[in-house]
Amino acid sequence: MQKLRTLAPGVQYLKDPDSRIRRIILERLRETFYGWSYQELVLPIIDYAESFQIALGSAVEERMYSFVGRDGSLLALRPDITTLVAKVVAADATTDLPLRLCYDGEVFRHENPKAGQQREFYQAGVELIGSDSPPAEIEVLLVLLEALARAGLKSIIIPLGHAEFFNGIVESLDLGREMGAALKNLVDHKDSWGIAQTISSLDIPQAERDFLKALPRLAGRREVLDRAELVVKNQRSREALERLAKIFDEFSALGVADRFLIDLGEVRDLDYYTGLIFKVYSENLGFEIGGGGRYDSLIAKFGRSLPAVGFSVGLERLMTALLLRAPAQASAERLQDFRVAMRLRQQNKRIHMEYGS
Amino acid sequence: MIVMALPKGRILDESLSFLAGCRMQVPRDIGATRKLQVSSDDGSYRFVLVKPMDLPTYVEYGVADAGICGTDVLREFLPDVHQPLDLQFGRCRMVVAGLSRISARPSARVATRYPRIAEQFFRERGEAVEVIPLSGSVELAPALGLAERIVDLVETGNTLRENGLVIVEEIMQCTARLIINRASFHTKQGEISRLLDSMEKQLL
Repeated sequence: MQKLRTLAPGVQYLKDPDSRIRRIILERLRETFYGWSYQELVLPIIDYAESFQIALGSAVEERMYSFVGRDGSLLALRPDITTLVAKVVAADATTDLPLRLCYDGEVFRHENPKAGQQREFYQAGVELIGSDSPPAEIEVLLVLLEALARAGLKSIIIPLGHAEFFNGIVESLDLGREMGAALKNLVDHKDSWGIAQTISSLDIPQAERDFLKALPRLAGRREVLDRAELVVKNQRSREALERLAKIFDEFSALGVADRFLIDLGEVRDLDYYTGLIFKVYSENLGFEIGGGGRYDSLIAKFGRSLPAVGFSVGLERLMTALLLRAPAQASAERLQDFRVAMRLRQQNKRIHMEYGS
Repeated sequence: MIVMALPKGRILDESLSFLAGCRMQVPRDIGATRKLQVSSDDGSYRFVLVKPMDLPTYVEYGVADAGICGTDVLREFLPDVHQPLDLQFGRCRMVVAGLSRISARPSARVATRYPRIAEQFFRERGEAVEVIPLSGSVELAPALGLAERIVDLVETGNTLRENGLVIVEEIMQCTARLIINRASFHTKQGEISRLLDSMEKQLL
């Protein structure tokens, strides 16, 4: 009997009130998406493994739950939903552009459960397809801000980066594939020291050397863009900076700039994103709640070339961020009860404490 | 306020003098007291003392914003954290060691507190070994016949000698690194930036 009750690793179940809280959060997100005219898509949980392999590359492939179907084809539980959106959009050429689509559902990845990472988790997100202009990016970020605010999370920070900033540097310095990959990994860990060690053997000018070492520190407020502009000469990176400045300044005008930061060292998932990249952090959670960016080459992999930008958030992580404050509050109330009880006992009264169930 | 995790044991003293050098007001008795949490005099830092092997977990989950951690522990646990600086202290070597007398029948067993590092090291060389994870007193294993060789940290080599062991080969050099939680890096951007500035200055 005991054995039958064992849960599989990396999965959870939710009971009331958590299950109800999750449903309410999800409804807040859906209402926001609906309000911005995003159309809801319901997508299959199972698809051919090849779709995900082509879209996401080897990093996700290793973490995929794949299995052989009755007809011998290789299938997988979806490790990502955007891939399925891309596939559906590519298949239907009659749609008017731009397309605004939203979704939510379970995603499966075989990872070691740790820091907010389960093997089955729930994602909600939007994709704006068919526009490559900054307003599309601004819209998607505003949808994100509004969705999280409606769900009750206001203390969020969204660092903005751009894939082309780093790509431009690797290209202009002619670093080659291997050195580029090594540097990317170091920048991803903001490892200034490791960068200094790795590039010490490279034959590049001192100014470029200093710049590469400083790259992990090109993160912070708007002035980071100005600092970078002074030292970066290649066209690709400069265009990326211009684009980020345009977006940031629009947020300033809208009065929401305090929610955003710049992180020019955001280089994770560079194989997937082609422009803007962002992560969403809450002030009380040690890992990101979600993220997104521009992916202009994904849909083309399924046969229709369309620019796109989107984001997804993890429902479990969003819930954790929202609920983290609650226990502290509860214990403060209990402390107050103890104080009152102590005072009463000092008056020789007999006190019986009840702690709920 | 920044919560900084410090490793108990081998590199604690050096960590404390490094932090003092960075003009951080670390309470002087932190190493001596049994308290595991202490705030700096100006209240801008809270220091928590944790086991070295647990330290990356505290930082990865963000309950500590930053920490000082040996590269041995980072290589073993591969936490997803930022690691901006090498702090240039806590130097030691990760080595393979074995009994000095030559064994008639070489065994494939290796005892270690670093199973991932050991496993990877031998596998990359195409050598099939059986890694036996232990949590301490690894030097005892060869003398007791649990394993022929061990993978462990060496500073002076005294402990190895006292247990009749010699260094067979070196796996890596280790030092202390500053690690930072990926969310804190942004959500506490101003404070983290000042922390990095003062440490970089001290390292020059």
